[in-house]
Amino acid sequence: MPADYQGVAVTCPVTIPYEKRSDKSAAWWIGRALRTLIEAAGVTKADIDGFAASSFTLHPDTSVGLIDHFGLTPRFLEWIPTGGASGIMALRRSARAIQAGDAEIIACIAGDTNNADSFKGILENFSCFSTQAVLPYGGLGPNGVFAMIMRQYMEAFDATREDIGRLAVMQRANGAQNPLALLKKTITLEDYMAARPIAEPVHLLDCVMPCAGADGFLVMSEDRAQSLGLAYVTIAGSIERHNAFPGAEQLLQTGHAVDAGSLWEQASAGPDDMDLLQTYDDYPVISMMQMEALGFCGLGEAKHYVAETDMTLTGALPHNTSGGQLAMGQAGAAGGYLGLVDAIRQLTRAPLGPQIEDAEYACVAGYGMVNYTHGLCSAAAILRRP
Amino acid sequence: MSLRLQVCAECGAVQYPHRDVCGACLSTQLEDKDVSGAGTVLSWTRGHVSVFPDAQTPISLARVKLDAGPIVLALASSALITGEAVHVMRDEDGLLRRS
Repeated sequence: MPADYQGVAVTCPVTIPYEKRSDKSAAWWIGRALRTLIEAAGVTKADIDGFAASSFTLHPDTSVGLIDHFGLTPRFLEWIPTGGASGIMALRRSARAIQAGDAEIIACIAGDTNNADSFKGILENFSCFSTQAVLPYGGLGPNGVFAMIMRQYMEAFDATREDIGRLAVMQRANGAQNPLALLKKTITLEDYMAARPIAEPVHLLDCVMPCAGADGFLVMSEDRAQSLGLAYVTIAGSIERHNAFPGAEQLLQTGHAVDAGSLWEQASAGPDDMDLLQTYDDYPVISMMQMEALGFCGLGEAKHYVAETDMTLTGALPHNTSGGQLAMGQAGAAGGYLGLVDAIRQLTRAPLGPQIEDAEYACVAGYGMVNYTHGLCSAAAILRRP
Repeated sequence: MSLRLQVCAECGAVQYPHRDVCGACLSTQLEDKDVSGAGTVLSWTRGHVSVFPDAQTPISLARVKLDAGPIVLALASSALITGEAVHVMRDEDGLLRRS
């Protein structure tokens, strides 16, 4: 079993309110998040001696360009280009650096801009494999690839669009209570079913809306968080796995399935102990696959689990408490931070909307990077209120 | 019907997408060879929204397991069924397409 995360605090969840379109740069969004983090912690810029960043629209810069831009002098620097898995990967690396004494306060930020050219630019330059073997095949973008994953799942487990739509409906209900959600309107199952086809079986209300924004948090020692008077959470366990199933014909599980046992063993807890669950929701069927892979229900059983479990903010297992990307929008790599940041808010009693009563434990999953046919990067963490 | 793809001279693994290093044994000895275009449809979609403004929609796209080994995405001109046996070839634009 990996070493525990004793002594590490995760604090100061920050979301720079998303905008549908932005004429500002990714650095502008990330810089705003950095300043907000510094103000939230009551520290100075010079106190930030670790920095981890993720973005799809910062090219040709990376975190190196950002530290020059922002005048930071860190002794720990990460660039984590893994989209939906980037938040938990930043958390894991930062936690180990804090434990090892390689840094004292690490700012972890993901941010992206969104304009007429940026989304197309991301698609055209996403990966060598997708540029040659996905994009020229009709230019369907991630919708086409995820449509084929969704169809395979539906056919393998006899799941219907209604089975999947129920999750989208509950999530949008959560988003309706989030003042920062770009899509605040609730939807009905009838709305979901009537949405226009994008790449069958993916329809419009399966899709996230690209937008601009940034999310971030700080990682430091518990001692430092306490001396600064900051509310924080601890890490009870975490996992990551990349390219879990090379060459797999059946893409029915996310890579979390490989290490879920370790995750729960580290946390000395199980899915039933969780007060909230955040999954990476670039499409609701992918959230259902994460529920299965993490053991919240059996393989192929998410259709029953979702139908029987109230996943709204007052339900038995609130899921994607901010409304997720389906309601907030997808601010590029920040989509890989959103669930984590909102879990920290809930556990530190600083929610954007309603507080989940007595929330002590959160399970947060990340998933990302469709290099070719499916997302290669999976990560998850269990957070706990100290 | 055959399909020209990279084949590893050391371990024989057929590669797709194009690689510089064998995905199985990490050899750099990859040669273009004719392999069978026969395969099975694993999943498929019919796309209505493209980033290309001049795209003719709907676009039928299949994920196909080739008998030769790799998984490919291939365009199709007619309806697809999961599990059906297909042949994949290159069209005039060099794209993989169900024949």
